[in-house]
Parts: sequence; structure tokens; C-alpha cells
Amino acid sequence: MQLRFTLILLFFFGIAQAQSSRVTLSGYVREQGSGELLPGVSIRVTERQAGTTTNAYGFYSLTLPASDSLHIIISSVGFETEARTLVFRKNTELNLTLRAENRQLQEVVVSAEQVIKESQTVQMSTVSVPIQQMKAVPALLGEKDMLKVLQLLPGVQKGSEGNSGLYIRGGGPDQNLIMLDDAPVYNSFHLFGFFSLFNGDALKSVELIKGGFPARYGGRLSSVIEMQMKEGHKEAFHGEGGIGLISSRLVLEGPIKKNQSSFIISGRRTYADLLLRPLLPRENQAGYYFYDLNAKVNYDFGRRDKLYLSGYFGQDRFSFASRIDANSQGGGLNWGNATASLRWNHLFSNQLFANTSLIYSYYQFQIDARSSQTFNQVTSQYVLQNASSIRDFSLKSSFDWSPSPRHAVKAGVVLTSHRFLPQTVTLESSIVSQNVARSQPLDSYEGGLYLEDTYHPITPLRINAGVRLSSFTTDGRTYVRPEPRLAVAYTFPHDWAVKASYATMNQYIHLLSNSGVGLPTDLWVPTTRNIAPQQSRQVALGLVKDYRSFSITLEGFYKKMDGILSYREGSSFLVSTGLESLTEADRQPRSWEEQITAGQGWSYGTEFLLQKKTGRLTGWVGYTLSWIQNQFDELNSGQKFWARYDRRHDVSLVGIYRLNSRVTFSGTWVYGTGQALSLPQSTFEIRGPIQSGNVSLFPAQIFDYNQRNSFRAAPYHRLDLSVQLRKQKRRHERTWEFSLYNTYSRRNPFFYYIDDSESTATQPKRILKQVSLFPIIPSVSYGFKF
Amino acid sequence: MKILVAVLLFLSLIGCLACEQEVDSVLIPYERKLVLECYLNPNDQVIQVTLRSNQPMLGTDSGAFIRNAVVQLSNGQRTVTLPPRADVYRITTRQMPLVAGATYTLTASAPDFPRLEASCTLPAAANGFSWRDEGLSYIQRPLTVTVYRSYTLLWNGAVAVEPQYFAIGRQWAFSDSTAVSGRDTVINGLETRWDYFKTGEELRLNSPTVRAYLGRVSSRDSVLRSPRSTDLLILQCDRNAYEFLKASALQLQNGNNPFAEPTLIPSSVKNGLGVFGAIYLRRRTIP
Repeated sequence: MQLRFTLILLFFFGIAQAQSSRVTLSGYVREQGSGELLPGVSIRVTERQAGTTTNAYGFYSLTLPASDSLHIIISSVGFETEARTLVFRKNTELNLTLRAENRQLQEVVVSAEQVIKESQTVQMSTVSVPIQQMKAVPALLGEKDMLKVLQLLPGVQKGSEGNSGLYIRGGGPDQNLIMLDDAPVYNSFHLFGFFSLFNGDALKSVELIKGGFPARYGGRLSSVIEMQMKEGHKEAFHGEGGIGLISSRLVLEGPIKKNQSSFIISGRRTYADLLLRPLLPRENQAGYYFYDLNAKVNYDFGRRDKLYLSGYFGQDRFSFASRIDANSQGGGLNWGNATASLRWNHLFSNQLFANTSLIYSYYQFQIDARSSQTFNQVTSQYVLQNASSIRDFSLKSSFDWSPSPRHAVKAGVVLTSHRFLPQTVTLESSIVSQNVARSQPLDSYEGGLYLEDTYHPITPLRINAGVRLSSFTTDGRTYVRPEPRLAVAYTFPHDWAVKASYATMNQYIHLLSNSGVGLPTDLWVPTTRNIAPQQSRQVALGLVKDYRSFSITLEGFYKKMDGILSYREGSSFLVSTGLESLTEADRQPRSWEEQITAGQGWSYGTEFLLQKKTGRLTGWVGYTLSWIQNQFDELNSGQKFWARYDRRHDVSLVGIYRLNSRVTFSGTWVYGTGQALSLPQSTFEIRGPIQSGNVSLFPAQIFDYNQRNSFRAAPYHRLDLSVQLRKQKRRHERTWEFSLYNTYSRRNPFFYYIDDSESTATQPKRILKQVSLFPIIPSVSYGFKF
Repeated sequence: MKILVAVLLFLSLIGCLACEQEVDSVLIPYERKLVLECYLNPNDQVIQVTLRSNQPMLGTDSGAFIRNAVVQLSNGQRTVTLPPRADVYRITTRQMPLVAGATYTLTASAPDFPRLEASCTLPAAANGFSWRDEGLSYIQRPLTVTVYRSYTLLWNGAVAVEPQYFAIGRQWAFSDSTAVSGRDTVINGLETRWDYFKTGEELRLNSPTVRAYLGRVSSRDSVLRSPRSTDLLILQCDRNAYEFLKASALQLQNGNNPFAEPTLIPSSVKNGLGVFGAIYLRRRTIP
């Protein structure tokens, strides 16, 4: 007994000794010149095969045994690698700066990790996209689009032609948590999905996680897309802008108080409406435009405290109006997001970093129609408005703690108050004194509490284990669900690694969409007493091999989703049968809850990614082989069917060739199996059960779809090319970019329909027609920096 | 809706080079099948079966009646062959009495088609329906007033074990005296609302109130429309007929609405399409 007691004492004494001989290296990493804090920078200690990366705020902390001499290597894509040697006998604060290799892209890599190879990280299914890389990839009309670059990665599939929607491992666009400076963005599209609303000039980093989610992320089933806005140059005033065919943009940044406080403000606006207005007749006007505004200020109170205030505001506006004599009619669609984040970084010690955020996010869509008609000196007015919105207030606190070289702990809490206004119809009319429907706001409260640890028990083995406890209170009911997370990586000699992960995710808010083209009419709705949360369970297994200049990643995944929502068969948006309908119930627009049904989904497949990281020619090859099926009791007679975004094969080739410091060529080629759509396969007539004399009162031409989504659209493929020509002028740098979208003018399907316009009463004639949007589209844009 | 159409037009205008083309590189799968339509109605004197072929979506084929099929109806004890009469196959209910609770099986074979088979169990007729007069209601427009009388369907039958599937509707005929033609036009129409219930309370919660059209008055040219007759209908069905007819009505209602989800038409017919169901029809003529 005494011996055992002695051994226990010795054991704890040993730990204490070991603990006391450990010291912590911590600090911030910034970009030289601008003072911009750099996330995702690799800090490697060569002697101990230990390392870490800076967090989203550029902070790192590394606790190691004391040493007389420590060699560290600091690196990040696009920056010159730094090496330092230091005496490491006590806790050390080491703030670092990295110098950009060149303002132009030297090397294109998909991962931000250069020194930490893919085979040496525990996280799988994660991709960081450098902003410089995004700007080098060709884009429709020259409008650089971060979400479309993400579409080029394996596991990420496109929607219809031109659509910025992301379908990740079988999930819909609503299952992606898109965050801008911690604030969720509910509608990430402009122009009906053709452009995303993120202005690349104002962004610092973009990261996509599509599986193996760490516990700090939650609230969506399929992915997390985290974007950080720049903070603004801390030393000098700078600007960047561009003039394109459909929009122009400008970014201004500079110090408010040198090296202590800075700002950045950026704006973008399309001008097709201004150009078209003079061409349209005065009595029939129509127009569309969108704009974005990003702004951020920060204040550095010293080593311990930093404050950031950032915001985004963007709107899309579509309108039409006509006037003939005393009669007029008009209307429009307006939709937009507003977000704001106030974030406070506090360093409790050199091992414990905290961030607290107050977050606001608002998305509103509004459709209105108005008319005024005068007849016999009687004027009738009619105004119809249909609106929906979602508004969030959130409080978020997170803690990063690095107690030892073998542990990196993260913990935090998130509380969100949601207010949904799923659909409200307001009718003001001198014609009809009824048919006014208003839906009540729905208040819901979402919570998340998490703890995760990245543990290195032995050098080749890394484990990230965590749990998230999520909750949602709505409609008098509270859902509480634990979400276990686990990721394991084992590194073999010669840069081979095997990785595996498991994640349970819950989603308490849903997007109802029946257009499939990203229209703003899609409704955000909460989980209710009758509608359960969506849940997914995903396992993934991966193999990674790093070579000197490229890496290969092969991942297989299986995801089961429950509680996913869909509109019922025959449901439609904004359609009631009219005032003269049979019953009162038919005359009112049906509530969203009546129109939806819940089911389950399965997604499984394999993703292959080959990245070439260095040399003049860089880029990647991505291939995804996947199957996505859904089953709803109330759809397709309860049988399984292919999801609309099921794609058997999806291929992306991206190449960027830097001829010299002034000329860069780039090209992308994509191929995807056609979408699964519902088109009628045959038709027949029925008489119905009620006859009046010899006349049938229920005659109908019926269309038989056989199975839901049983028609396959033609495959999608496209080649885009561009060349960027840079020149350093006396006071600024200018870039001309010439690009070709859809170089060989492939007619990719946007939608299909059956044309029976040539049918006669006795002789039907039906033709399948395909509508394609974009043939070859050349574009030119001009950019400048000063 | 006008705005949504404008949006669609705008979407097309975005790529002003967007194009529309006939497609022959992708195929719409087609399987030739018999389409059966038969409603067993114990209140009718005849049992009538219609057989057609479905037509491919593309092309110029029009629907055709199948007149060379062998159609048989069985109640499990005996089987009767239905002879063709014009466009239908028909027997009387004397040849095959229709009894509530009995299950009937219908088969049809025709050259070049797979043999189809369908079954239907005749539900008991639900009694205890009544219409409550809710008085007059109006829709007022600047130049016209449309007058309706509302009726609510009530049911005081015993709690049903199986749901009662039904549709309520109105059928009308009216004369339309217009200044343009100067002649009366008689229009037959039918609208339906589909629902199911087990108790009178469930029925009440679904607000089965029907408005019977009484007429429309115009300040411009006095009475524009006057009804010749209005009937309130209650169509009780078995589940097969209910699901088939409800989906068909919904598909018809949505027409070419691009924002509507597709409506699949369920069928209980093996190796074929269509419906083999049971109905009871009650009609009340509004005075």
C-alpha cells in the first residue's frame, strides 16, 4: 500500500516536473507592410517535429520543453518562408512578420499548408483557397467568384448553368454554413445565383470544410465555408479596383492610427440598368442591379486585446413599370443581406486565447406588384406584397488553450436568437376587401456548447476528438442533441497518411426551394413542433501521399441524412386558385408548413484530388464519383429516387501557367453528369368519374412521370480560358484580363420543356426543347492597385 | 405571378445569346402501357371500363382506345368478361353485383401490351352528410359584384375505422349574356376539393365550405351572368380512386406553372397506368 502511494506520488511529481520545465512560445503573425494578421500560418519546430498553425486571428501558441536552441520555420502560401533560431528557456512572446513573395501569384496550391504537408494534418476534407488563386481562375464576364472556385473542387458540385450554389457531398445549398467574419450569410447569391455576393478584393481567407467537422462548427449538415475580411493596411493608404463589363469595384484601406487602428471599405455595383435605361421605351421600364458594401475597422489595444467591427450590406433590385394613359402597373423583387460582427480578442495568458463576438445577420426578400386603373372616372388601386425574412442576433465565445505539445484544446459557446418571417402576404386593394394573409413572426433560440482536443499521443498519430451539444427552442418545444466528432490521422514513412473521421451534425433551420435556380423566393424556415431538425452522420476514410511538387488525396465518404425537407408534390410558390375558388381554404395561399414533407437521404462516393503545387504550371485535377438518393414517404410513392443534384461523375481540371512576372495564363475544364430532373415520360387522357349526360366533367390530359427525377439532362462540360497582363506603372499597378467563358460554346442545358405549340385539336405534336444560357462569352476587365 | 413571369423572362435576357433548341441527343424513356379507367359505383346500373394506350411525350401519336383487349372482372367467386361497346367495355351490375366490403379484381390483356391487373375493395357508403346554408357572400370589384351562397358540409356518422376519402365540388351551368356575341352561352364546370377524415370533427377542422355561384352583377351592362343550375357534389371514393383523382386534379390545376413541383400520378394498376376504384356520388341541386 505504501509502495503504491509512493509510486503515485512519484508519477504526479514527474508530471509536475515535466510541466514546470515546459515553456510557451506565442505571438501573432502579420503580413509585413500591411500589418494584416495572417490565419493558417504554419509554425514548425524542426527539432521536435512539433508545430501549430495560427488561428483565425493570426495568434499561435506552442508549449514545449525548454531548450537552449530552438529552430522554427514560419511559412504560408504566397509568403516567403522565415526561419528563426532562439533560446527557449522561458515563456517567450514572438511576433512575426512574413513578407509577401510577390504581389503576384508565385505558386498555386490548393492547401494553405506548405510546410505542414497534407499527410501531417489530422483534419481531412478541408480546403483553403488563397484569394490570389481565386483571382487567377477564369470567371464568367470576368467577375471573380469565390464560390465558383470552390465548385471546382472534388466533392463540390455545381447546380444549373451559371449557378453559384454549392452541393457538397449530397447536401443542398442550405446545408452549407457560410460565415463572413463569424456572421452567417443566408443568401449568398446575386443575380438569381449567377454571382456570389462575396467581393474577393475585401477577403483575406476562405476555408471550406466538407467532412470530419471539428466540434467548434455546427448548425449545418454538409459544409462550413468560413471567410475572413481583411482588416485594412496599418501603415499606409492603399486602393484597389476594377472595371468590368457588368460591374465595377473599389477597395480603400489605410490606417486610422498608424500600427494601431485601420479600416477597409469596399463597394461593388452593376450598371446594366443604367446602360439599358435609355434604350427602353419610357412607358415600359425594367431594370436590375446589385451592389455590395463591406466595411471593417479594428483597434489594437496592445498584446492582450484587439477589437474588430465589420459589416456587409448588399441588395439586389429588380423592377418593372409600365404606364399607358391613366393606367399604370409595376412591381419588383428586392432582396439582400446585412451582417455585422463586433469581435473582441483577449489573451488571458500566452496559452489561452479567447474571442467573443456579437453578431447580427439579416436577410429579407420582398416581392411587390401594384396597379392603378381608371375606368369611367373610377380609379382602382391594387398593391400586393409578399415578404419573408430571417434575422439573427448571436453571442459567441471561443477559447483556444495550448497546455502542452500534445494537446490543443478548443472550447466555446454560441447562443443565437432567430426571428423568422417565412411568408407574409399583404394585399391592399380598392378592388377586393378581403384575401389578406399575414403570418406571425416565429422566434427560435439556438445554442451550441463544444469542447475539442487535438491530441498527439505519439508523433505519427493525431486525434481530434470533441463533442458539441446543440439545442433549439421553438414553438414551445426544445430539442437537445449531442454531436460526437472524431478525426484520426496516422502518418507513415515517405509522407503517406491514412485518415478517418466521423461527425454527427444537426441543422435546425431549413431552406424551402422549388425553383432549383437559387431564386430569392426560397424560404428560410425553422424547425417547429411538427418539423424535426435535420441530422446527418458522415464517415470518411482518406489516403494521402505527398510528393515533392504535388500531392494526391483519395477520400471515400458515406453520409446518411434524416429529416431533410422537400416541397410536397404539386406544391407551388405564391399560387392560390384565386378569389372565385371553390372554398375559402383554396382562396388563401397555403402556409409553408402545409406544403412540405420530411424524408431521408443517402450520399456516398469517392473523391480524388491531385494537386501540383510548384513550378510554372500549377493547378489540380479533381474527380468525384458519387451517388445521392432520397426517400420521402409522401413523394414518389414512398420509393427512393435520385436527388436533383445527383451526379455520377464530376471532373475539374484547373491549370495556371505563369509565363513571367507580367503574363499569366489560366484555364479550367469541367465535366459533370447531367442533373436528374422530373419530365413526363408519357401522357394519357382520362374521363373522370362524373358524367353529365354524355359530357365528362373531369376530362384531363394526364402526364405520367413514372419516377421522380428519372430524366437525365445532357452532361455539362465547359472550357474557360484567360490571360492576365500586368504592368507596374509609376504610381500604380494595372492588370488587363481577357477571358473566354465556354470557349467551345457548348450548349449546356439550363432547363428543358415540352413544346406543344404546334399541336392541333386532332393532332398532337410535342417536341423536347432545351434552353441554354451562355454560349462563348468573351470579356475584358481592367484592374488597378495603388 | 406576373412578376415571376417577368423574372423568368429577365433570366432569359441575361444571357442575351441564350438559345433554345430542339433536343434529340437525350431520350425521354417510354414504356408502352395500358391505361385503365374504371370506377365501381353501386348506384349505377353499369360497370364500364375504358382502356387506352399511353403515348410517348414526344412525337405526334394521339391517344387511342384499345378495342381488342380481353377484360375480365372477378369478385373472387366468379369471373365475368366485359364485352367491348364502342369505346368502352361494359356489363351491368346484374351480371356482377357490387357489394360493399367485397374485393373485385380486374384484368386486361391486349396484343403488344403487358397484362394488367388491379383490385378494388368497395367501401361502405358513408351516411349522415348534410349541407348547412351559411348565407350569402360577395366579391366586390369596382364594376361588378359576384354573389355566392356558402354551404358547409357536415357529417354526423359514427367514427370510421378507415378514413373516409371524399371530394366535394360544385357543378354549374350558366348563361353568359355578353354584348359582343349577344347570345347565351352555356358553360359546364366542375371544381373539386379533396380530403379525408375519420370523424365529423376532423371534417369540420378542414373547413369544407363550398360557395355556390348565384350570379354576377355589373354596373356596365346589368346582369352579366346568371346560373342555370348549381349542384353541390359529394364524391366518396376508395383510397385508389382518391389518390389518383386528387393527383390528377392537382396536376391539372398547376398546368404549366414553372414554380410548381411535379405531380406524380399514383396508380394501383399492376403493369399499367390509370385507376380501378370505387365511388359514391351524391348531388344536391341548389334552388
